[in-house]
Amino acid sequence: MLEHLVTAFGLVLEPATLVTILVSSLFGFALGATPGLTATMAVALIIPFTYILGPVQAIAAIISAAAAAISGGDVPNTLLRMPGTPASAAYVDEAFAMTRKGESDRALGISALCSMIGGVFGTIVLVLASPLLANFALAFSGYEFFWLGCLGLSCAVFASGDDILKGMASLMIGLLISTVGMDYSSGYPRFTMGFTVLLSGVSFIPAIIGMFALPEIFRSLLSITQVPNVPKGDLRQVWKRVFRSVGRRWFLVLRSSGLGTFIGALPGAGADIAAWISFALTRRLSKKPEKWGKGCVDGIVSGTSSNNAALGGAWIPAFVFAIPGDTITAIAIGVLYLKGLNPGPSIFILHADLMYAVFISFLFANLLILPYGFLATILSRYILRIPRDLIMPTLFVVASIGSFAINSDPSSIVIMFVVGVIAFILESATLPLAPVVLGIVLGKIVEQYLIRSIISSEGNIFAFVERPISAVLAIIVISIWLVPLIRMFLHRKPAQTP
Amino acid sequence: MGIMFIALGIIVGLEVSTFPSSSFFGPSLFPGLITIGILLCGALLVSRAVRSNSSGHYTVQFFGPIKSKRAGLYATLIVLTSSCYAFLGDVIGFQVITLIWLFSLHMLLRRRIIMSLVSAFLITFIFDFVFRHVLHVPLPSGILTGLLY
Repeated sequence: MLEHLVTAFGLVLEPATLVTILVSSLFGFALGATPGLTATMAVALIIPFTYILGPVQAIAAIISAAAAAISGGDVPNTLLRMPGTPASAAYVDEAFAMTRKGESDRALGISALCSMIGGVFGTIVLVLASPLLANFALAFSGYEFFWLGCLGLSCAVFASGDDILKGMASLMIGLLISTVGMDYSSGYPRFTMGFTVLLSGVSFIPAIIGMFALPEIFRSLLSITQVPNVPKGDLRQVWKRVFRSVGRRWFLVLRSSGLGTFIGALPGAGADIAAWISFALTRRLSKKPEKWGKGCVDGIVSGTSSNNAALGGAWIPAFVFAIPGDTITAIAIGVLYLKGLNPGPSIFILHADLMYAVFISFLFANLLILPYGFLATILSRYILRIPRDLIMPTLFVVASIGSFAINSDPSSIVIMFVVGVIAFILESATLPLAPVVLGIVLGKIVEQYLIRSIISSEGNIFAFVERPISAVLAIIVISIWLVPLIRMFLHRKPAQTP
Repeated sequence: MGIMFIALGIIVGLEVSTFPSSSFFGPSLFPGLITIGILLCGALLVSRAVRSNSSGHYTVQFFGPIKSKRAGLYATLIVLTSSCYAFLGDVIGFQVITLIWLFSLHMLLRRRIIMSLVSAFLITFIFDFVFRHVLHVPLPSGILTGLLY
């Protein structure tokens, strides 16, 4: 491991990689700090630039942008009560309450410091846990991977929000999209409508760009709003108070980081879920409940620590099992395939140096959050003043050219557009998009393992639960579905008669 | 939404029924399971809507009431520009389409004509330079082929 780490450090310290990390994280931070633009969108928009990069730089660009965007989302969260990313939404009221009290700089500083600590915590767990889990995963057969895929699909539904039914409906759309193209077992073309371009399936990257960028651009064009006045404050003594505030809450930071890493590692859960759960837990355990809602530092500390830690955790299932933890890791998996680095347990044997280089890049990106946070209070005021009517048309050009660039094929723009329209309709009906993305990614995997396992067992369905690990995974998946159904049945209200 | 899911489920189901099925794990197995899922979700969504709304009035809201009168115009522009990029990119060229799109949008968003023109030119130039020259993406130049640097 040490040998790989040394080689990996060499790869990361190459000027090209360092510049990539620096530029990508700055880009991610700026996008995250722009209200409405999510970390996923930052990652989606950075994809076209990964085509010319080497494998390490390409993945480093994605993870740096993601880490910085999540942290950048805290800026408008604090100053304008507008969560820059969904992961910041949990503690928006606490952060904005501090701004109203004239403590916006302290809130921003606490957010940056806790984001950095959470991110570093998640990275350390990622470095230590991934190779161990990879060794364990080498014993997996098609049955285990099938159940793991089902686990990812289940978590996608249950972690996507309060409404399980809508999450399930979204997942079905994602799974349906994943079946477009030639069938795995027979090569029969499914749902291609005669278009040869669809024989290889729906191109994932244009689909993702369309899904997240297009509805946002359209919505923003419809509701261009004036950016409110950005508060001004004295920055000189702020950081001393920030370090004191966080230092006094060291246990809370560690607990939230640990919780965030764990939640992030669950397939289907992401940074926003981690932030919500951590925030809720801290509030429940708080000895001063009267302070909540009025600018409680504990709320900001717990939320920011856990959402950045969750990013580190989310890379574990992505790299080890090729199961995306959230939309960002789903995109990263796509780029890994694009670069010929097929994620899975064997990646730590075949490309250990590259993987450790990616981890170190992630560590660097997280360390950069603190200086960015230092600059955030100044820079954000300028970023937030850029009119969205100038940003949105430009983003449409990025989205279109980015989709075209994936394989220099104009049909990718059609895919981007069609998926964008589908996403707009789904969002209009308040259906979550995360299960759609995970459905597209996991659908192919689950189907392949399902068919492969059925063929290898000669149609014996019981073979799916005969091996110990697959049986345990099956029990977990079935429990995830049964428990809420039983609870729903027990607490079912009688239907109201008109 | 539930009705839309049921309709989608029926359409998908009809298409799946045309797939060859020599064995039960053929090309129709997984889409067949998804069809059941879509129909089930549709039925549950409809059932829930009926249970929770006794008034009998159902509406589909698009992000709350759309206040902008230009919604249709923006949507048309997006559709037109996407179509141009996809189908006329080779003929007209990405640079010209980008320029027209940016200029139109900036004008619609009530920017001054000179500012709109300058910003549209500048952004188009930057994108062309970054994607065509730096990233070596073969952006079709259409009518500008041979005229660009």
